[in-house]
Amino acid sequence: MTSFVLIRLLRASATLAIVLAVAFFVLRLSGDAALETLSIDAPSEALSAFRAHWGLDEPLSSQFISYVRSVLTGDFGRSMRDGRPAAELVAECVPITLAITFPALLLGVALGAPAGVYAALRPGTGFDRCVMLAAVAGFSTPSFVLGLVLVWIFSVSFGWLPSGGATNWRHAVLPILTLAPSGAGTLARFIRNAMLDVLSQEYIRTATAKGVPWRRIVLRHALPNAAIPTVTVMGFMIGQLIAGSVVVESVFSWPGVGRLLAVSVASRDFAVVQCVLLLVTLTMITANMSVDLLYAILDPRMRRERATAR
Amino acid sequence: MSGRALLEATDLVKRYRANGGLFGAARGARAVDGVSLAVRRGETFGLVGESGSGKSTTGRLLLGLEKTDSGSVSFDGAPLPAIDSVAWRRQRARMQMVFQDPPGSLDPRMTIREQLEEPLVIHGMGNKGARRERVEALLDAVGLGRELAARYPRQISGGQCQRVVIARAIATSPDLLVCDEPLSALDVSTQAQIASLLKDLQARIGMALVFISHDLRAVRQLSDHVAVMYLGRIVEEGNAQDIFDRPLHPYTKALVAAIPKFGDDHARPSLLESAPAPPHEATGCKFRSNCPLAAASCAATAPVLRSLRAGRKVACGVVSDETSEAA
Repeated sequence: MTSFVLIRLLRASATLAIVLAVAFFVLRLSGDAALETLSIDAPSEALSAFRAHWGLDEPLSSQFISYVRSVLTGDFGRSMRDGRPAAELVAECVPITLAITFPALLLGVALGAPAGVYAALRPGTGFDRCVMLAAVAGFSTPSFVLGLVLVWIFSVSFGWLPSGGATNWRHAVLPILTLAPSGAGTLARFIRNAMLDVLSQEYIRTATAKGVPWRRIVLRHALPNAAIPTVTVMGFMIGQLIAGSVVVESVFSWPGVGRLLAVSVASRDFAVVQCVLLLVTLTMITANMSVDLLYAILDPRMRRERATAR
Repeated sequence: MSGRALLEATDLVKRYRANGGLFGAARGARAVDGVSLAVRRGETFGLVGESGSGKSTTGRLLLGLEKTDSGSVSFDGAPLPAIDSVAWRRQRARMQMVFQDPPGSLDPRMTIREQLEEPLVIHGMGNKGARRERVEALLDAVGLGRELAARYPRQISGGQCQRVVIARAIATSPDLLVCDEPLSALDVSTQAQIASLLKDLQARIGMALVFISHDLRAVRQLSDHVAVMYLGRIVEEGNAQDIFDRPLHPYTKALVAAIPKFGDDHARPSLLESAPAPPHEATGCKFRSNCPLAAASCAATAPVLRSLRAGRKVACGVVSDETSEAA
């Protein structure tokens, strides 16, 4: 178990390093921060003063070395736009993003899991088809389309909910409703397949033949076994949410991490973008590692395999 | 049939729909086509046939795990209750089944103990302590060490899995155990062990055993009574020793001749290699295209199972007791 965790940790730090390096170079090669922050017709003295101040006139390699050095000491640099520490800016946005992503995740699970299970228990019926149609629609509708449709219905036509901003909970409703369907759809489809797979197993047929009541078969045999592969999809759902939040926060001008990222990329605010990417990568790594650990806990086969080596 | 039968099946028919695709008409294939048989208490009834002969379907129909399209099954003098009814579920305690795939028949997330306990729990047998003792007794009965109780199916061998499956099936002391190809997933040495375990358990518990297999040697070793199935029908039935010593039906003859014998290097008849008649060729004897005895009359009417002499039935229009003596 300890070697299992150790290997994961090593792999995780390698991933982090790669993301850091790629983000650093791609950002710098894709645009000039001085031009983006000041303006195209800024005087050349102002531009070179800006570059000298942020160290942009040095060769890329030495910029990278000093960046890595400061990151390792916990300094993520300052925003070129308002001079505040990037980490502080990002930290301010995190709870705002969680305020919509966490409820969206819960809503996705609450909708997707039961829908998938019920669909699997009635395969081929009208109910099953409706659920699967809704699931496909859910995860294949781009969030900016869904967001705009929801705005059109609830803000423009009925005027029930605000179309943007973040002053009270009513502003969070549409972003959550936009984020939830993709996760719900993914989960519903996945759980349905996992359940169908388990239900077709010999031990389910045997359980029926033994006289085990159907309720008990579903609860004791089918669900726990179907839950194992389903756990892996949760990591994927979290990734979907992070990607979705960039778009959704921009659509609804929700001042979270996603919008911060979009704005910072546009203005080549290097330190902020890098800080956000670091956070996103860490979140993904943590999510996937927890999924792996959860997998090991849920599946006795994984847990015991090492204990009694075969 | 001497004595009251424990299980009696009359004219069982089960059709499976062969879907003709989007535009083709759906055709019904008869997996089981008018099977009647009787299993007496404590005996071993062997059901032999090639794959696709309908023997597994027959096994499931006998246990009431599937609805029959027509025909009836009675167990201990009463017809089987409707599938999934409370009475049906209660009856499971008295009739159990062992399936072909031993590891697949065990829930991968449950320990051996939990698997063995489950039938006791659902059929409300004993309290916690009694169940614990019963689980240990069951492990002893199938020759497994008690320390295996805490293991998961993945951690034991295929043969051990089959022992667990058998232990679970006899947990409720059933009157009838249907074993569907219980040996075919196992390697040869394990096969022999499981076969003798089944024989031993049956003698001790006194349950009736329906042994479904394509392995004639195993059937011969275990069975008192044998029925041979071909394309959904029983073509020959009788005392096991008698059938293997003097097969009457040409199909049975071919099967028996195909049993490998020690020191026998002769090419065996290739009778079974040609394709069986397709299911829609409904008239006449289904075996006639492969049959060395086929006569013109075989194409006209399908032979019915008829008694030739005491305890011996055969479904063939041509063969008689005398022709077999001559052969």
